[in-house]
Amino acid sequence: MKKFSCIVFSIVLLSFLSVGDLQAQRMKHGGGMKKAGGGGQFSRGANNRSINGGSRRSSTRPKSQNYSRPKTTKRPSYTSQKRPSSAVKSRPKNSGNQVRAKGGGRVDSKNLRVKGGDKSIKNSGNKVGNKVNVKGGNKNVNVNIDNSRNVRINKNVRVNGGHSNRYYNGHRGYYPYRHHAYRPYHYGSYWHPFGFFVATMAVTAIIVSVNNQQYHYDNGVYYTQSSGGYTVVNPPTNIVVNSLPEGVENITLDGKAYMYFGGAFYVKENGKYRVVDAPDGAVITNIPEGGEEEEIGGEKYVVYNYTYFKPFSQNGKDMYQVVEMEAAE
Amino acid sequence: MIKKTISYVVLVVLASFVLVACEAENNEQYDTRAIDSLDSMSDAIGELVAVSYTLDDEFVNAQGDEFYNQHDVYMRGPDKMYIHSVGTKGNRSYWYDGKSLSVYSFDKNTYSTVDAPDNTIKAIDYVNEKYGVDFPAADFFYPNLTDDILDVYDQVLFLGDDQINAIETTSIVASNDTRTLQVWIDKATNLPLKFLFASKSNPDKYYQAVFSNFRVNPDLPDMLFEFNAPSNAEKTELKTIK
Repeated sequence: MKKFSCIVFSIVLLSFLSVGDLQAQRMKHGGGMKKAGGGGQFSRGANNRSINGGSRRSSTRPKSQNYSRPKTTKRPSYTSQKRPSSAVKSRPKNSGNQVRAKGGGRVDSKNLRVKGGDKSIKNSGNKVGNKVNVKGGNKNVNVNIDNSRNVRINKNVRVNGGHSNRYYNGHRGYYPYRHHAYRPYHYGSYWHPFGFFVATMAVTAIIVSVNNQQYHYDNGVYYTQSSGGYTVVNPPTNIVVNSLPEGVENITLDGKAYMYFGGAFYVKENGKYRVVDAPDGAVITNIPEGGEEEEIGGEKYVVYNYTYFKPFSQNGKDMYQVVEMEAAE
Repeated sequence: MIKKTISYVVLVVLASFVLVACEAENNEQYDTRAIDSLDSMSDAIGELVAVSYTLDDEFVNAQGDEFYNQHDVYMRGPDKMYIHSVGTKGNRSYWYDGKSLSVYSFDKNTYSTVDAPDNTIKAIDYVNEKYGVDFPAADFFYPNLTDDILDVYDQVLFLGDDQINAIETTSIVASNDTRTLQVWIDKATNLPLKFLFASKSNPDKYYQAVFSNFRVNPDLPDMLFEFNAPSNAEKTELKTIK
């Protein structure tokens, strides 16, 4: 009878807990209090100075045991309801999952090389909403954890220990990030994402080269010649161009001036602009189409041009900060 | 004949209830390690005589609209609370002094004051039920946290260790037919670090919040919890939801 009462009570409780209540005070607090006798009342003999009167627990709890694996029979299928990823359609195969490792070298996280060793880590490629193998004491657990976004969980990298996970707000000191979603920026008709193919090159394009490789450069976009035309590629590090297009962002970081455009960072040298690795901590406002969202350590990042960006809002404005990653051990 | 029919109906109804009960029993999975972790967190919170923390939350509704708010929360003893919230819901503060609760909107320069019960938990309950005011992460500060979770969720499972912002945590997931709750508990302090409510029927809909700046038993002065309306502020009535 006790079990029956419990079941009926649970059904009543669940009926109050509509899915639309995710935002509100999220649990009705009847159960435990009911068992302990008296809704909202503090326990007798408990810590009366405590903010909540002290922790309480029922003596008639349902039995528990150690589980190695949760039941999956009632798990809904999220696959068909997932938000489609429109950002990756025009990305070249070799640009999506690369990260800039500590020290500026480019690392392919699909087969990530750990700094200082030969250990190779395979990217699990887990997607949010799918079965996620959770590391830790219970290694066999497969549970739907975060089914909210089409965000890849990447456990192969972590935030470099030297990176501050806070930004400086002049009015209120250092404050944690306030996340915002990645919204691709459209620079204009001249802008093309990585992997984009054009049959003919604009007359305004110039030829630049680095490491014996020629590129065509036009309005912040780099192309290599391919069969029957030209394909947009990532800005090559150390390549030098004469001019940057309108819309360039000027950044000062640790007393050094940088220019940013379309996912690439530049430094000015002898009146020209050289592509450099993204400086850790740099804050920019626009990331073009082609970025991919990844979740690392429970936080969401946007990966673009081999660089991790942390989206955050400051004074109502959406921004992104470069976050240097390192291989997770 | 009628008696037989009634007996048959009664038996069928009873059998249905028994089947439902068995089914419900079978669906319940409560992992001892998860329960222990939740109890430890509840104990850690219950031992606080004062606390302050920052909560950054994020809510995405069924339409994909995103809401972000940052809350600075201060609580002292059983009957003092102050919250300052900034975000998509505006810039506002709540003062609770054991007798009344005041809400002030910095954006509109308006305020409301209502009588409230004599302890924080009851005040949170009262104001939420009567006026629909949500308090950030309030669920975690109820003394019966673990029992509340056991009542609402069919499964409470232990996921193991995880790292949030380079902090070692224990992760727990609770689920029922409609949603999941995942909680990350700081292993060093047993205080909550992050939680995520997600809808099972609508994958895009979720609420998550991250705790930071936890200060345990700080010295919080009385004046922090006392509301004095600005002289030019307009007094308004808090609308009831019933």
